[in-house]
Amino acid sequence: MLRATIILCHFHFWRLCFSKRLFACLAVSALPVAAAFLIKTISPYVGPPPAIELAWFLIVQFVVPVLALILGSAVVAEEVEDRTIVFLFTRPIPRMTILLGRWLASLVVLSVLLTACVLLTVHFLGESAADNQEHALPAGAVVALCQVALVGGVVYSALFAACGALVRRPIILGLGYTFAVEAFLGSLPGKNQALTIQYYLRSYLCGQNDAILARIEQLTDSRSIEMVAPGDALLTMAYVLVVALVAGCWTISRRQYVLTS
Amino acid sequence: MIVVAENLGRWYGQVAGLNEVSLSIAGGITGLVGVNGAGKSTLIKLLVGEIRPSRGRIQVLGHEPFANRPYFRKIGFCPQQDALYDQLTGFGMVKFLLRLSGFSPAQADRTAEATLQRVGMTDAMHRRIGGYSKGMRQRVKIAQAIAHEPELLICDEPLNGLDSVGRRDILELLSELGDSGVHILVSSHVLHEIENLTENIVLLHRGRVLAQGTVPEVRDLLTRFPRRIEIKAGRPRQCAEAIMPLEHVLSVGIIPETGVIKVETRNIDQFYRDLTAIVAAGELEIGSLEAVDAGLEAVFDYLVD
Repeated sequence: MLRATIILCHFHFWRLCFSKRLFACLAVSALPVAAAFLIKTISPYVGPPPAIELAWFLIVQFVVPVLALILGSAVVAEEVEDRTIVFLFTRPIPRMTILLGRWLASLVVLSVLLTACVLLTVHFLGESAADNQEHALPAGAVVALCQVALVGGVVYSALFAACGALVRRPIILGLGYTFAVEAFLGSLPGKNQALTIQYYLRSYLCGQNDAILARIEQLTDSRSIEMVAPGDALLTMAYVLVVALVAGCWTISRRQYVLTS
Repeated sequence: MIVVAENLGRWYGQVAGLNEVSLSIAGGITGLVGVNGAGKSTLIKLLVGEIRPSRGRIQVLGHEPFANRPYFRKIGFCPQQDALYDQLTGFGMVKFLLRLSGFSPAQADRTAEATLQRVGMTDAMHRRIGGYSKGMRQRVKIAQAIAHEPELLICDEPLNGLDSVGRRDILELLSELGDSGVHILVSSHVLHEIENLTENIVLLHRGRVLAQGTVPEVRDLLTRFPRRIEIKAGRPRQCAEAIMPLEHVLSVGIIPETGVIKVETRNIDQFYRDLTAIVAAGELEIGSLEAVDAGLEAVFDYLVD
């Protein structure tokens, strides 16, 4: 099983590197970097560099789910849509290795893109703060932002990979979940936010550092929301990850994919 | 028996892809024939474990096919759809699938190269599949199916979209594989081409098995349709007169333009014996003799009628 997973991971990684999907991902991850560059070079903005704010809004809330959706939804659905999955299904490998191998490959690409995205965004905005200690980023903010982006990418991509194993058009379901369900639940009062991944990502990020917490609270009026401890947030996301992967593996192992000619 | 199916049924919602199919297929080359929509592809999907039966059961090489890893070591599958990894080379795709079949990198390299050479892809194997012609793509599909030397090769419409040379090459290759001991199940709606490959057929129509066996066996079972024979003879009139009194002959006619004699008989074996006797007696000169409705296409038409 491990061998097949590695072969599939390797194969899918190289396919991804030369795919149109990667260009789409590059375009999405370039957005916050471009925004940071514009703020630094041509914006009349004079306040403290909004690195954390930009990273939170554009990267964690937009780039992370969208990249995870583009890459995660393709894990199984791409093979089904291309009708090439039959070549894999008729090999002596456990079906779940198709999901696991391809998801791991997507994860490698996702991690590289998200890390580069966070680092470049912070680099452009952090540079303008170099002359001004007052405006400097809180200590450990870059690492925390990278961690949150990566954890979010892992959880979201597993969720969307499972969706891809379950439904024929996972991208629609994924977009609906990210920008409708999570956005709706996020805007409801009470504990409804606890049903979203974004809530745990915010809890994890804010729990890293008081300065980050203050900046995010200023930004999102999250004083009214009771956040969980970073460890609990991570644990909850680990549960979501495991459940998503198990559901995806179970589905691909049992589901009949009727491919039309 | 390589395939045993009992009361096999597969439904797509309200539509029956296969219904109450029971069959046993022995080794060798067997053709699954029928018009489009007959249920061939559904049967193939069940054979390769792409789908599960809605009812009944199917066993291939002693295994139930769905998600059965030991079974997949024994079979090779050439699917109907023209879907390949277009960004890979032919060599890359066959090698990748061999690796998944348990071959080491070096073994996979050697085997992929040898197999692609075998299917006539020596020059093109290192080019991207996206640039291949339809025939080349078909060859790559067959190469990936046979590279790991399966016991049973299952081909779904392998001749689709090929020109006549391509068809001939693929048929030759399948025939060669059959001679080397590989069991082959091949589906096609082009009946005469399957007939060139094998006499063993399973005739499917509207999700059911219409007939199974060799073409002559199946034809012999169709007793309500008289056998038709065309004879070219030196003196057609005299020939027709000699044949007409035979007890089992139902009708005799002559095509005026060509002089071909058309005979309908209800006992073809007896007819051949009687005709031989007539010729041996020196009464007639026969140029050629052809049973015009003994072919698969004619048998199929009768069955569908």
